[in-house]
Amino acid sequence: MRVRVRALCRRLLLAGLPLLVTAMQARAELVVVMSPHSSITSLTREQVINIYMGRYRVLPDGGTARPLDAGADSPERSIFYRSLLGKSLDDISAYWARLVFSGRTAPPREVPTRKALLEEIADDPGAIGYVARKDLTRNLKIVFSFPE
Amino acid sequence: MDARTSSFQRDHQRRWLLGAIAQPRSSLVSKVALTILFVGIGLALLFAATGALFLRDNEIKRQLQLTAELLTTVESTVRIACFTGDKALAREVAEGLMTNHSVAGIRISAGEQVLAETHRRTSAATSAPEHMVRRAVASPFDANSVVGDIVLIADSDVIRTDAAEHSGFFACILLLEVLAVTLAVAFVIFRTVVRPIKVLASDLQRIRATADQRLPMPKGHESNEIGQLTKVFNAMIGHIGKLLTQEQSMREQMAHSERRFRTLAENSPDIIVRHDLHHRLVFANPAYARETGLPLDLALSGVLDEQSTWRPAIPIEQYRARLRRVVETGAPDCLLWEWTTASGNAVCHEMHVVAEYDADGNAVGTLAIGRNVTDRREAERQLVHQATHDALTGLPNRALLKDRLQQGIAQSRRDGRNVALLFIDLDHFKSINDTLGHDTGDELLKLLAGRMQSVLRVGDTVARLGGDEFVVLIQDGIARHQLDRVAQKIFHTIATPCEISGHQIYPGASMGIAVYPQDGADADTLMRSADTAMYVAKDRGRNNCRFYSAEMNNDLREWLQMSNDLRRALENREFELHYQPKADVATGAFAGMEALIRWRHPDLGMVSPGRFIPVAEENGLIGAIGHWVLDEACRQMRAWLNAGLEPIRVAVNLSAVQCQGDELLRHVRTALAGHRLEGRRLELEITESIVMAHAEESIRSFWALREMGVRVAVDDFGTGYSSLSYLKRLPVDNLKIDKSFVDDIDVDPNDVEIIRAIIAMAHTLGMRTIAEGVETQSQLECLRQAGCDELQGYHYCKPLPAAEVTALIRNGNWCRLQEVESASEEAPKTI
Repeated sequence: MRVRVRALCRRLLLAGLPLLVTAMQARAELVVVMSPHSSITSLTREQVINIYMGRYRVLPDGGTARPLDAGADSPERSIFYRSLLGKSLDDISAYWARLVFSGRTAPPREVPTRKALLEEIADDPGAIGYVARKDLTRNLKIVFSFPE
Repeated sequence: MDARTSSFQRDHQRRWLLGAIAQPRSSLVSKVALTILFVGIGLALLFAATGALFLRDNEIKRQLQLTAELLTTVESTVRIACFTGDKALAREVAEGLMTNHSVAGIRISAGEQVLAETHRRTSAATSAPEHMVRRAVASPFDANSVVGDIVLIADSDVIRTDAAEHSGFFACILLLEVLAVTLAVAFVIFRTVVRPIKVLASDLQRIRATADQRLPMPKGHESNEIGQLTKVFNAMIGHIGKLLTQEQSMREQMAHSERRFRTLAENSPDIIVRHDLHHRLVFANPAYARETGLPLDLALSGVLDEQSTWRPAIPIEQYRARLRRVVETGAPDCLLWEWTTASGNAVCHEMHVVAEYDADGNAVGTLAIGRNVTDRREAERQLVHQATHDALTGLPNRALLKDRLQQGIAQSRRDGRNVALLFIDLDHFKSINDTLGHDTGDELLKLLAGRMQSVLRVGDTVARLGGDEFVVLIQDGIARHQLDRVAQKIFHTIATPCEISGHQIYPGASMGIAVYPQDGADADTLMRSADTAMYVAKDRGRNNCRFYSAEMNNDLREWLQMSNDLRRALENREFELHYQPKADVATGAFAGMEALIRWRHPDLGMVSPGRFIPVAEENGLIGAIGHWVLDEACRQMRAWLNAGLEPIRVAVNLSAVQCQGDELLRHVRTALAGHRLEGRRLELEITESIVMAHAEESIRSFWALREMGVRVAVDDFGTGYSSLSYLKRLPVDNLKIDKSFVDDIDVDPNDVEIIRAIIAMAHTLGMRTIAEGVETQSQLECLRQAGCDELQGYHYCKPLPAAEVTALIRNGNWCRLQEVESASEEAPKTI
């Protein structure tokens, strides 16, 4: 845990104070969304973790879940994993590296732009994504929001 | 002896040292080495075994831990695999783990689903449950959420083998280490302890304590315990050397002393014996064997009273009591051991006995040193006998008699029984001695002593006081008439005639008897009384016996008085000579005179020679009186010559005392010369008994007298025993026929014959004969007829004082002679 804190501190120092401020604001604003067509109304944090980290790709209603990641450089992605798992993106990458080389489980599909991401979520009832609350549209249904 | 002793000494010494530090049967080196080796190996094995076991268990645990830690290395991957249920990843992990050869199998499961399971075929079945590690697998994102488990099965064979190899290796190391330490310790002990001790021991073996040798100090050990040990040994060796030297010198001293005492004991002429407390002989020297005649080996351990050859003279209990007292009191004693040997000889040893003690002061017996005092005792006994007995007769002497008399008196005072003392004096013993010789006299005394003893009882004592005096002591109370009988018996036995060396002897005795208590209150008085009685008996004609009476003392006093008066008489010139003329029988002419002594006692008047001569003979004055007579006769002759008278021959009597020795000739010569007289004027009359007693001596004396011209006459002829052969050789001029023959000459024809014979013999030998004591005319006639030459007697003329004789001669008035002449027809011419 201390290692993690130290790593975080180092990262914060590299990113600079403004980034830290932004991140704090952004995390607070991220929400897990699905298409309004989906029968799912809300997901638990466990369910979000299982889906995103490859344990299940099955929704509670029995449909296939298709988690989507924001672009690698996007602040939401980093904020999301930190908020969800408390891990950095490097950790997440290392996790997936194990699985990718030997296993069959694949990481969430990366959608490079926010716009494309939003569209895909809106279109696919199985798709799950995270967006900043300020970027919410009508076509999006919040199934999980990080507690304050 | 010294060399033996010292060689023994050396042996002893060496043995002592060897005994202490001989070559060890089990070497300390090997013992220590073996002990250390065995202990070391044992310890090593023990350590190795326990270490191996401990190590093995630890190793197994460690292997298991290591194996379990394998799981940690793959944990994050397994978490992911279990989280995602990715079998491929799980298999990959499992295969990765299986590359470790201690892992026998892996099973990864997520929930019910087994993701991967691999087993090594060989060892799967043998795995023990404890070698199986099961771990829950948590979610990678939530440590609290278990998403699966992983089971690792360790290969126990491999683990065991590994552990065994591992622990075996370490055990070997341990073993080697312990062995190395053991050897090192053994080496150090050997170098620092055992070897120095061994060197010490071998040095010690060569050491001679008495030669003042010392152990060399081992190098490098000067200040440690070995050095200390060496110092202690050296001190001890010095001490032992000193002790050995002391002991040796002490032993030598003891041996020397022992030798000296042995020499002393073996060569001692005295008996040295040692008895134990039971009177058993435990030591005896050769002198003991010699004295007793017992071999030493037989004598030893014998008991005093069990000596077969020796018999004690007094009861053995007395000896034992004395010995016990010596042991009890510790006071030495001196006892006489009197024995009779087997050969019957009485021996006597004077034994000095002392008690002997052991070192604790307890008495262990007695030591007796004895000297043979048999000879000394015998000499003492003889001395006592000599002191108390008469040498000639063996009878008790005066001392013993007095002792017994005193005892008898003391006894008498107690029991009232009287004591009788008989004084016996032999009659005429002197003349027997004189005539027959002392040997005969001695024989007679012995004979009479035996006779007297034989008639007396055992309890009575016969003692000889000396000379011819005997005393009989009768102690046990005897009545007067019994005493008479005893006296008669004694008389009778004495008077029995006997023959000694060819002489017939008729002994006689005078006896005086005194009885205690009436005749004397003590021994001396009683002796005096008996003596007095005896003198009285002798005085009363000898050969009789008198009981003492008080009056006897008066007689004795008289005698003593006379004895005293005689002494004075010589000084006071109380003696005088009377002269009795002699006549020629044939012619009646005056034929000389015999001088006869008279004593004019101031109180008693004239005393006859018959009374005082025996007293003078007794008290020894007779010699002096005899000289006086000789001198006085010569003086008178000179006076007559000076008065102008014709020379007259005077005959002088000589006593026995005068005749002995050469004194006689000297005296005669002196007397004649003193008065300027020729020898032929003097005639000496000597009795027959004296002449014959000293016959040879007389022959010499008489010849000497004849040379001086002195005439010699034998007096009292016929009363003694004359040897004709002697008579023949004697230059005798005259024989005087004893009065006893003359007395009865006119009555007894025998006497006439005897006188005739004497006269015939005398004439044959060229001697003249003179008859003595002629008192009657008829006697004169007989003598004349017998052819006697001269006569003397009252018939012719009685003895007259010198003055009267002088007058007679002057006047020529020989009355008697004239009568004779007138009686005889042949008238002799007158002088």
